[in-house]
Amino acid sequence: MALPAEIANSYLATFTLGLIYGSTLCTSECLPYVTSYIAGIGADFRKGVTATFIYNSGRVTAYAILGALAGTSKLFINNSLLLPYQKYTLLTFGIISLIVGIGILLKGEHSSSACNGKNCKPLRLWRLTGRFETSAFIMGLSKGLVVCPPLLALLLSSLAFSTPIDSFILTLLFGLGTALSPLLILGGVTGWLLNKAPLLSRWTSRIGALILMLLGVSIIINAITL
Amino acid sequence: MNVKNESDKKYALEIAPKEAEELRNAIRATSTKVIAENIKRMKKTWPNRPETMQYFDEIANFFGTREKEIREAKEEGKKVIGYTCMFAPIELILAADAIPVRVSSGWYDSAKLGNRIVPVEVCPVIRSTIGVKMIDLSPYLELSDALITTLTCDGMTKLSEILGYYKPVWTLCPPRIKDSEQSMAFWKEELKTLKDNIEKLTGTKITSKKLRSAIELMHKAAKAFRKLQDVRKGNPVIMGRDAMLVNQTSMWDDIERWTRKTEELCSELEKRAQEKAWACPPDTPRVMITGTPIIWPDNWKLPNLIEEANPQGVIVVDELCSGDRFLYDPVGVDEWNMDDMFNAVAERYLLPSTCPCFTSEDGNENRVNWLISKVKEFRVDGVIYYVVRGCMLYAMEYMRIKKALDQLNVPVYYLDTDYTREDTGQIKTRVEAFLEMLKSRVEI
Amino acid sequence: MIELIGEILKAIIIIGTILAGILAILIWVKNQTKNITYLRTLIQVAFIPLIFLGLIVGPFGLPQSPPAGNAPREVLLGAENLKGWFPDGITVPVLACYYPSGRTVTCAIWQIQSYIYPFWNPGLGFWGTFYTNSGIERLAIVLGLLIAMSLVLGRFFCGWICPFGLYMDLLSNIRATFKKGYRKFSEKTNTAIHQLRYVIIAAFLIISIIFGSQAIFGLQLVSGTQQGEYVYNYFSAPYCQVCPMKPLCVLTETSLGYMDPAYVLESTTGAFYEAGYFLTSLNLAILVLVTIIALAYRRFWCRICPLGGLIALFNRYPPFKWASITRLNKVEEKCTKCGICKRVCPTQVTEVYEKEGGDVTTSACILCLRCVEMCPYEDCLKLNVAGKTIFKSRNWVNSR
Repeated sequence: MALPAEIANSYLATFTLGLIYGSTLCTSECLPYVTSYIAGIGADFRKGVTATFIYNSGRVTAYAILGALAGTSKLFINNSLLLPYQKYTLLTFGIISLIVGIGILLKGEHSSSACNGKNCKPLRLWRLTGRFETSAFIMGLSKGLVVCPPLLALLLSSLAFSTPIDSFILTLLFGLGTALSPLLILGGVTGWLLNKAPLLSRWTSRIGALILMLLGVSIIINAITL
Repeated sequence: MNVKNESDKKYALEIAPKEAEELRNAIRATSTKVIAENIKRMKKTWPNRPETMQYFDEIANFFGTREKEIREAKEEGKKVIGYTCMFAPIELILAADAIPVRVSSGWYDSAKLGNRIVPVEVCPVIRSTIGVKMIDLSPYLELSDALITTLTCDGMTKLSEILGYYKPVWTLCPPRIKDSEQSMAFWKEELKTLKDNIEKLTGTKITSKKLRSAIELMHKAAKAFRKLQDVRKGNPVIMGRDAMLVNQTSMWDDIERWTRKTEELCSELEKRAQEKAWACPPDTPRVMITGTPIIWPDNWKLPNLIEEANPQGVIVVDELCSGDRFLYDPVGVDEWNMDDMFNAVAERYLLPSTCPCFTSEDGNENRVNWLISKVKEFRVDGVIYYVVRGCMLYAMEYMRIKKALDQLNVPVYYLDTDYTREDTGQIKTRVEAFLEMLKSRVEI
Repeated sequence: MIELIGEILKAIIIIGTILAGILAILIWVKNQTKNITYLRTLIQVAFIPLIFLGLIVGPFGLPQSPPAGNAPREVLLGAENLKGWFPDGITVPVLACYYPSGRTVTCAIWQIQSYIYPFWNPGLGFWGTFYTNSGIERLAIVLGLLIAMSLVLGRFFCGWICPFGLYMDLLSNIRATFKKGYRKFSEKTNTAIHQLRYVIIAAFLIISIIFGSQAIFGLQLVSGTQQGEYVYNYFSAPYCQVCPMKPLCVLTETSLGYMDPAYVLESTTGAFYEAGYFLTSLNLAILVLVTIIALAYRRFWCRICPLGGLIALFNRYPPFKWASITRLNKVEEKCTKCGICKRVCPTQVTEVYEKEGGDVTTSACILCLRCVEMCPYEDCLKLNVAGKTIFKSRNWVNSR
């Protein structure tokens, strides 16, 4: 999609664009990963929202980095670099999804959820300062580094007209717009619903981890055959 | 427990047959006199005692009509199964066409005999039952073909062994914790074994039809009982002792006939309630007795004292497993198939029990709730917490019950006594003081 | 005019018959351990024509799909007034399946799933229905109705109105006539099964959103979800492909001659007939499985029904919990912990037994009131609607 130069230069417009794309394309693309991740770690509403938030911040960071790189090194002008770049970033994302899934699966097997007859404490693989907070961030980061079409268009158009700082800020705003998406609510609702089934938390965790692993594998295959 | 032969009494402590014979005749004579005297006293306190009570007086005589009936039934081939405790499932016994009789002992004199075998500190009911067996005093105990004993307290546990020397004893072990899944499963297994034993003894298979009619029979008895309860809720149309006698006779009488007679009695009492023909003045202090069982005839000491005291008290309800607890909870059957009926019977005898022999998370809240709701329904003025010396379980629950009833502003009086006539004077003074206090409270 | 009077008279006669039936039960059934059950069965049976045959409310008629069969006119409640805005019938939180021919109301789950298409704009939905408002608006209406009904009646719908509930009660009665006992799950298994509902809701919610990704977000996540393609045609309402109510309704209507069996079979696809509009091998297998299990374990489906789960979410958890109108109440003093309520409960709810008085409604309870009926102590358990007692436990021993 071609961006008229005047709009591209307006910060507010970029932010709005980010909101629009965030609530449609980005939510849709990230939905399977976020929900299976939340299922895997056994979160409730609040923690589901937090996990999604951290994932989103990973993406925003990725966009900011890309914007800075594009601004300083004007790398993306070269189309021939784009395809191998996409291939490797997709591959990375796939591998990271796979690893996170395996990590959740293994951690779930070893952790003990207190189960005394009737009441089972749900599996809580979430710690605010621990591996899983970082893994959400890293997943978001690697997903963000896979340049999606609107981001690409934004970068290209911003190159011609702005300073390096400009493209950094533009992509940051765009990223923040995408971060405020219904994905937060969907992640929270998933966590809330799954938290109502604490006795089954082991199984939902395993299924979530497995789905994440399968998604990772399918992306890897996708990347290889690209 | 296995059936023991008469000759297998390896460790049983004997009493010389001649002495046994003498004691039996003596105590029997005393007992007959006591029974007659109790009835006379009840008639004296309640001048216009209804004619229908005659029937219950007859059945209350251990050595009279009922003994003859049971003997005749035995000769026709029916089996008699005795039980010492309320945990025994009556429906199963009735379904096998056997006759259930309660064999807990209320005789004071045999308690001294029991002292020869077990220490004085043991519960007097146990000592009395042992004494009774030693001299073959109780007709029902003698006529029993088997005994169901429950291992609820220490006394009962050892009593089962001692009685086992003389009669086939089937033990039932209620789990000390009622509400876990494994306890229920265990209790059901216990009852299944009991059912097999009953079927083997009587030679009758307990089919679902028979069990259903037994359950329905007990429902009718519960209906009559609840009617009697309802009548006692208003102003007193029946004196407490008479109602207690009616309730107790259900434990050895023919249930169908008892139900009929009780219904007759209730219709008459309802008529009297309408005519306002009170048995005692409506402002008589209303007393509830709770605690260890009070068994006819000798142990009528306390009820006699309460209702003949000056100022008089009237017993409106009691929480005794020999009284108002017996028919209180019905068997609730969901679907009339064997499985559900059996489960219903098993649960009815275990879960609503207010016996303190359990350990419960909520502190036997069953019993507390029961007492609180009865205090409210029957407008009880005062509670007498009656404990026989030696009963740890009831004694230990006293503080908790007192605290609960204090919150309702109902005075609770702890009365402990033994199977003896010697402390009658003392108890009389204490009871009269308590009733005085209640009377003054009522007037306020 | 004459027609209207005729229809009003018809409605009065039918409602009058039902009320007469209710009165007859209340007066003549002496066995107090059974009369609430008879009442409930009467109301469940009365709702079958109300939900499916459209015989009560009329005379609005919308032409139903002609190839599907000769069902009685599809009389959709509210369709005439709401027209293209909300034409599929009022949402009711029971399994009042959308797919069979005769309908008055619609299942909430079907509406939640299919009103994703079209999402942002008015347009063509399934079955040729044209909606004059957008999917979001329709979903908001459905959600609003669902929450309102859940707050007012809660799972009373499950116990007294749902036709699948009647089906399972019939299975129970068949089992009882053969004098076979019922089976129970262990408490832990039962709790896990009840919690499974929420996992099912979560799973189908996410799957619906993923399949509807094209409609909502404009991005096709799974191939075949574009309009006209395979997944769009057959799996857009993914839960309806596995719901056992659909084959039950379709089989009933086909055997009664209201639906054309050839058309039903024609509209299946896939190598194992696993996808289709009406009867597929998948949902038939699930129906058979649920039937067999429900013969042994009472009200089995109700323990995992996601619609029941949705009602429970909007009725039993904060903040809805405090606004809920229909509640089961226990007076603690009168409870002797006899355990009868726990034993007779078809869905094995233990909270009525264990909780210490006050509000004892739980998310697993279908308000069938069997516990209230069988509690032998006067006034111990009650059903309160807005604080007023409608049913209470009685001294049923008196009626023996």
